Amino acid sequence: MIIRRHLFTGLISLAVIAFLWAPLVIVAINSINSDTLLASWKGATTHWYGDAFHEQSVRSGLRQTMEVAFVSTTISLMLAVTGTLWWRRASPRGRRLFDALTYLRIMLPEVVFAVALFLLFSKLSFQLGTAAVVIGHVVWSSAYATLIVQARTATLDPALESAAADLGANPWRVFRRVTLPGLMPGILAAGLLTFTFSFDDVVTSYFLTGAGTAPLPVVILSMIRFRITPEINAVGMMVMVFTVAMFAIGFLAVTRLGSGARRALTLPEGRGR
Amino acid sequence: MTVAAVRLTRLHKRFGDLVAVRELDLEIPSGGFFSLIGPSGCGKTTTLRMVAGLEQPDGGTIEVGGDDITRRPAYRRPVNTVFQSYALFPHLDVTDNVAFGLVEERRPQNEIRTRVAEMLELVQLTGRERSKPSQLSGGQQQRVALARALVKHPQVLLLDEPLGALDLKLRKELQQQLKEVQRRVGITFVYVTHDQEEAFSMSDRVAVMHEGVLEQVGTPQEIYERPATTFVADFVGASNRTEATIEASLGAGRYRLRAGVASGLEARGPEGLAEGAAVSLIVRPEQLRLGSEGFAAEVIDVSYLGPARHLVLESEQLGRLQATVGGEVPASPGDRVAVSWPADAAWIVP
Repeated sequence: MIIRRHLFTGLISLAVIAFLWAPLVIVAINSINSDTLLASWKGATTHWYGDAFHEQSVRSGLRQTMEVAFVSTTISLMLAVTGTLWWRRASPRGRRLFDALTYLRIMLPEVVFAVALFLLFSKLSFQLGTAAVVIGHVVWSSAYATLIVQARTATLDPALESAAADLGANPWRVFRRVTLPGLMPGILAAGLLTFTFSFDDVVTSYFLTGAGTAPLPVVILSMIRFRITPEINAVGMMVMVFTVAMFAIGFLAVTRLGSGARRALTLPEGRGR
Repeated sequence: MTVAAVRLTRLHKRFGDLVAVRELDLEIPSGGFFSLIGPSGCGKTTTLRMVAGLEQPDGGTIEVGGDDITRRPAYRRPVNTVFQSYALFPHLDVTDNVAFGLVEERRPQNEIRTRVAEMLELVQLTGRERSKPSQLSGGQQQRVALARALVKHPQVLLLDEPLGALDLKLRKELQQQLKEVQRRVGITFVYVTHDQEEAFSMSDRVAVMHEGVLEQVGTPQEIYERPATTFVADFVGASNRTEATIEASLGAGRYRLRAGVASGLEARGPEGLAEGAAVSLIVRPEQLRLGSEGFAAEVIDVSYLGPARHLVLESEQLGRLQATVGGEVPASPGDRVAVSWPADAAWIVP
């Protein structure tokens, strides 16, 4: 009985996993399939990768995406850190308000913000394009970044900042030499997350790009509207590999940094009172 | 006498409705080991933090070395602190922790290197330069915290229960080291602790605080033998206390008084007490003698303390008494004994 029940749940789980991952596997296979119609396997080729690389809209889209992701991540991190510093000293009411505004930016559908910004920018005759997309991304990515940096402050002993001031560091130096290093693992993690979120965003980018250069996900979307070409598989694979690699590197950096800092903040035995 | 190292004038601090420090006047002489003691919540740590600049007083002034620093931010004060939690920077190694304050002073590299090395030698941490705080024992962390503050050559070093988290044996060792370091560097130490024994063993002078108010300042001996208030008498060690009335002043701080049915007792006390005043009579347990003369009492309990024995006695005239006597005195529960004390050992607290 038990074995059969396990067999049954095991099969279900296997099916679910296959269902979730199969598309990715197919994309991976087709990205090296030399059959132009992608109807059957006709041998391996790296031809599509070369094509994708030389496709003008893909190249400019990638550059645009990187630019947007980089700028919006930087702005989001600055907002997250300054916001968190204010939040630490704020009154309970101020904190609640701040938290509510943060969560709201995560909970409200992205499309709502995108449409609202689109309408606002049109009204103000603010030109759609890179700057507009960056603003659109910062709206929600700064909220995610804030949550992560805020969580990190829990591990920051306020006595450390008192000690730094006591040793002659002015408020800016205290921030530079004690607060910022303490928050660094959180800032790195937040940066990675917001970068990848911005990197693969379609909704906000689509609304706010205007007539200018579109970011890569929007380019891909418009490419498959006409027909599914083998290059798209290659582009998809490259984006995936890039994102996973970024996350892996960042995750390693954060855990290494994080565990070191955590160990240092753990009180030695016998410190309980 | 030279300028006081620290002078607090009518220093006041509230936290909401709670008055943490009430109109405190205190002068700390230069170059000694000064302790601020009292039970938790008495305002001693708040006072220290106000001197460090980590709390802002609601009133009064703080002078260090004759300069009014009340409104100066913490980072511009000529004082440094050893924190109870040590507060070592976890991302910096021992050298960088100790050098932290000198870097802020923008000292030249080679001066920083020499001074840090000297300081690490003083606190016996040579060889651990590249260790992170998390790799050090509690006692070593405490010494890094001490070195980090001392390397700045502050006018006054503030220590906030720096040994509170350590076990007894290590505490004793570090008490000795702290005292030695203080003598060698000659910097004024202001030490906050709730442990009166610790304060007495290290300090030149001690101030006792209670509910934000200064109860008494003096040498450990003065405070132990001539407590100014019943709170001090109780806080700085076990004491036998009975209510008494002054019968007559004998001059020069000597009085005759009555306690319950016993009259004609002699004791010393502060000058200027009026006849008929209600006072407390205090005798330390180690001053009580068991013999053939004195107040009749029954032995209730005897506990063995190694070199001495602790007795609990019940006297009809004086009530419950505690006595600490040498090991040879043969006494066991139920024995009837007579209790007395030398006239000099009894002290009157108004």
